[in-house]
Amino acid sequence: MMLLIVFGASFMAYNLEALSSDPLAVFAESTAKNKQYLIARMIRDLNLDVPPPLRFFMWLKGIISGLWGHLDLGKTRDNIYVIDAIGQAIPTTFRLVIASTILAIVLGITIGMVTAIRQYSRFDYVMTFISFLLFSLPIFWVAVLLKQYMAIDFNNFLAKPDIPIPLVIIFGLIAGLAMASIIGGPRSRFWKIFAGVSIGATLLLEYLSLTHWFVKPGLGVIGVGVLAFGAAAVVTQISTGLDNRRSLFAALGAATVVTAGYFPLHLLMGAKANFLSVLAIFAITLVLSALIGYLVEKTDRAVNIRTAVITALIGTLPLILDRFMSEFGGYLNSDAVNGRPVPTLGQANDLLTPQQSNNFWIQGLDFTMHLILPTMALTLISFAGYVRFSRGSLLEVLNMDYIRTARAKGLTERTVIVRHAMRNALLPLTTILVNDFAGVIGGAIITERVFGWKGMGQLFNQALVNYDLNLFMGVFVISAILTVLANLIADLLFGVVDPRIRIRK
Amino acid sequence: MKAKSFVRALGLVAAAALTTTGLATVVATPAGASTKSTVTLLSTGEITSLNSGTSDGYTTYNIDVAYLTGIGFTYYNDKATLLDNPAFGSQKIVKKKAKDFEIQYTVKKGQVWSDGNPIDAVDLLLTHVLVTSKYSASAGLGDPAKDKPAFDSIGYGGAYGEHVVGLPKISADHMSLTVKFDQPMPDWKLLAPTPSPVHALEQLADGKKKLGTPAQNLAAKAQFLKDFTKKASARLKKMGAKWTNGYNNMNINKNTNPLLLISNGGFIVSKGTAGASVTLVRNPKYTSGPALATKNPIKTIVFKEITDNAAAVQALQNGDIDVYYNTLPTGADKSALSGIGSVVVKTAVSGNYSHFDLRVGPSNGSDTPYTGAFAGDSQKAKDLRHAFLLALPRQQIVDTLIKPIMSSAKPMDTQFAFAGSPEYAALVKASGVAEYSAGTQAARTAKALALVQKYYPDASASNSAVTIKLAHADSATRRNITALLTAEEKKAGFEVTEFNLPGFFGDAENKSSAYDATMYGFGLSSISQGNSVDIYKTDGGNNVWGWSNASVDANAKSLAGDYLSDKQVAAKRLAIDKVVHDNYWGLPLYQNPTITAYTKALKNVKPGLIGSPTIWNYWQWHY
Repeated sequence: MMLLIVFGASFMAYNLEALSSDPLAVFAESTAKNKQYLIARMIRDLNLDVPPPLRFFMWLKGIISGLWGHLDLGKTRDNIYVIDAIGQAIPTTFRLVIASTILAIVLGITIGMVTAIRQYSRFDYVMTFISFLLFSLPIFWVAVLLKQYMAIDFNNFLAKPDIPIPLVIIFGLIAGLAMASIIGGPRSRFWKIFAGVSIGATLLLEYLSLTHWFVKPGLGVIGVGVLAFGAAAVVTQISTGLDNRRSLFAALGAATVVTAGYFPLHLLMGAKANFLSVLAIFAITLVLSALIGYLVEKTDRAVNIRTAVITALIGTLPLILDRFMSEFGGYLNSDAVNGRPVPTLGQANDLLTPQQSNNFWIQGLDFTMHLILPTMALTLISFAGYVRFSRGSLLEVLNMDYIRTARAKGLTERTVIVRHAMRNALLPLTTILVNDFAGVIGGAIITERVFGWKGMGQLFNQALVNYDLNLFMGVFVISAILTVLANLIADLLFGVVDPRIRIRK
Repeated sequence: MKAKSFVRALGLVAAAALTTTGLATVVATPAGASTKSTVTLLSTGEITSLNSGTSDGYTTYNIDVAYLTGIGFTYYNDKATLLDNPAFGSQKIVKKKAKDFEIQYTVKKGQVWSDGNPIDAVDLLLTHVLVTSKYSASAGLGDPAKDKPAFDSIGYGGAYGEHVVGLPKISADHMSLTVKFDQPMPDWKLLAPTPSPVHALEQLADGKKKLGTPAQNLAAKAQFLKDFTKKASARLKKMGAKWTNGYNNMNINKNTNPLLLISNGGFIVSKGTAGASVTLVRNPKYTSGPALATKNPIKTIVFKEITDNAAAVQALQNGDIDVYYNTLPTGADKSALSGIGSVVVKTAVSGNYSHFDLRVGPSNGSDTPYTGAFAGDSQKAKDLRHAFLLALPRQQIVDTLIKPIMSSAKPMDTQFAFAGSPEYAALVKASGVAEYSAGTQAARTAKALALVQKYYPDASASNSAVTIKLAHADSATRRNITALLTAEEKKAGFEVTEFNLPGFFGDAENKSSAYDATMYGFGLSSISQGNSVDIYKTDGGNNVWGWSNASVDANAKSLAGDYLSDKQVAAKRLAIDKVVHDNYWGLPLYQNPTITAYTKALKNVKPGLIGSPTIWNYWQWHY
């Protein structure tokens, strides 16, 4: 059945594409001296003398021979094997979209759930407004704005990295307002939090501006420590609640491991480091934290270990980030970057010296810099959907009887929401997530185009524009198969995550 | 107490901030003011191959890369003049008879390829293989007219291949080559063979993956001469396969076979990412062309592939690219670029132009008769064509669409020469085209209406008498032009409708008899004596309007096949243009403007018309 769907779809797609334009049209305005030869050659090479429905079977022959190992998707009109072109495009697309997809999911679900918990609060209204606004923005326009403000203007700012005081105060006020709205509570508490966060953020920003932090960023051992202990507090609060002293100790222990590891772990982060050394750092902090979680107390070991490990996982990120930041100054002032680190497009800086390209940290920094804008653009426009969906899903669950029961029997609000409501609210999201990931491979035509990434979307576009039937069909078949597979996986996964379905079977 | 401690904390923070600021100002040093030595160029399309001679690889983007890595006997400057390149060699006519026309090409001694192997006339022989169908067929490489040839080159079917006689003769010292043709070749300078590193091709065919030793290179070159002369089919086929398919992997890194990267231009390809960029570095052994600038020279050139125009403009603004160009700009592009403070914006005309042509008979190659309003050479058909051209608001079109980009733009008056050349002025003065610029458009349109009223007395601005179907490729500019001319033609009694739009304009439609007029864009890839004759000849490849005139045919044949003086050429072109205007066949509209914008620090960028117009003088560039 699945095969039949793919076959039918590809037959229709092939013929529609073949009939929709005429490759010989380019010769209408050609003044080439050997025009006759060129026309004859194109007819010969593209088999234009064969009607499209029959030509489809010439193409299909290559697919069928794939059954005995000679899969032949043909060549593109640039004389490259389609299979190679797609093989190069998939990783590119994946790199482009994976970070933004994950970020959109995490951010979208978090904000969605917070808005559900604070339903009809100021924060809820503001987020609803923002998510609908972003939902309706076209990506090419978002891209233009981001490039203007986050790349061109930000790079100009770096040349003279002083933030004017009024701007610092405005940012501080915005931060205070946002934080106070999220935490909520009675009016007096709102104003207290607002004042505290505003002043704190203003001072921090002014400090960063005065020290030219944006040109020479870094966290230092103190910054890493603050973030790690902050992570410990947040993780404990969500997983067991701060009242659970043992858990808190485990998490604080993990944070201590990360902070204490600041100097020794730097030994692993020389210029010759690679991906494995980063993994090793994570392995060390995770194992030590797990050990602490294990030793804290005999009861509830699993919970303590989990809290410690999650804390370590989150807390180690700033440690790695700090290492990347320490290379930023050199990167910024190198000839290749010339003081403008945020590029508006492309996948990598072509001018890095061999010495720079061999440095894992500079490579990573360069990679990240090129990802910032597209990731932001894609995240901004796609997270709105997750916000709305998770908000609705959690609200629906919160209105169910068993939640009232849970509250009635005296569970804390934290337990009710995290243990009982959130998990069930996440169930319907799995289907969307799996399908979104399959869609990712199909590529993001406009995003890839405006950010100059040659991925699946650009290939598809190129195939359409150039009358490149082999390429078109290659992309089409891969996307079709992935979509069909994703639906299958979503169905299977649903059975795994939802015990009701499992047990019914 | 609480307030006190808060103030104390605040004080502490402030003190800390001040101290760090003090430190920061001491530590912060200004970024090094070293001179830039890299140029990042925009490529508006993907660079797909290092070989721009194959039929799939022949794109302007690939040609730009090839221009930096290879140079031969000639190149175009920014005035579209073909210049000799004495650093590479010289070419001259040695026999000028009607059936025996011989050209001798001499390569200057002492040049080497980037791998150190000397360049000589043997390196020119590959061109003969690439453009001569007869050679391909007789060497068993496939007749390009029927099968896919072993060397799948774009060049078959041209003048060189049709008229060359036998094999080129190579001199004893291997430094010069003599090629014989069966008729005088007026555009002989355009036929000059281009050098190719044939020793590398031989080694590639043998599956070599490293640069050869000098001895191996010499042997390989001798082998090529032998294979070429003896038409060694099997070996040539192997080389053809490498030549056609071997250069298409644009992921270039240290694992790339260095035999593929050999250059005799100012730069060598060093790095590439398919679909993203190509990086070139200086060729230290370059002597084959004008010397590279020595003061603050360019050491690295990067082509960045950006298909989206808005993205390219912002990339220029952010310094991601240093040089931007646009061959189909709009007024909005011009003002966006002018708004960037850090770049120089230059507008120029390109070798592409738009023109307006009217049907007379069936298309060349089609049997369907044309029966529209303009059919035939009766007085009525002529008058209607005349009226239609008179009411064509060329000045208004230029004022509205082109002047915002280039304020000096004017309607174009002949397809034979470009505005600014002395020949252009002389042609335009005498051809009869002046009628379409004389007086005001209102007066010309009134004259047109009078002509229409001769046959349709009721015709007026509110009562269209004749419907004209206009064919053109679908683009925003074309649609804007159509809107302007439709309004003006209506005043002369013509109802203009668009043929087959929205939709596509394919080969079948091009040859059909269902439209009355076309608005096409043609582009010149070279400036030659035989230019544009294919538009006017009865059996010309571009003549889809059914134009046919014996004197035009005779003059066109002579322009394409006689060795003429400049004066004779001008006279024949004038004769053709006169027939065009006596019969009211058509009118050129304008030469397309182009925009080049580049960072102010870069010097000597002089955008040209044809060839590789942005980078034609890359050797002069410096910071």
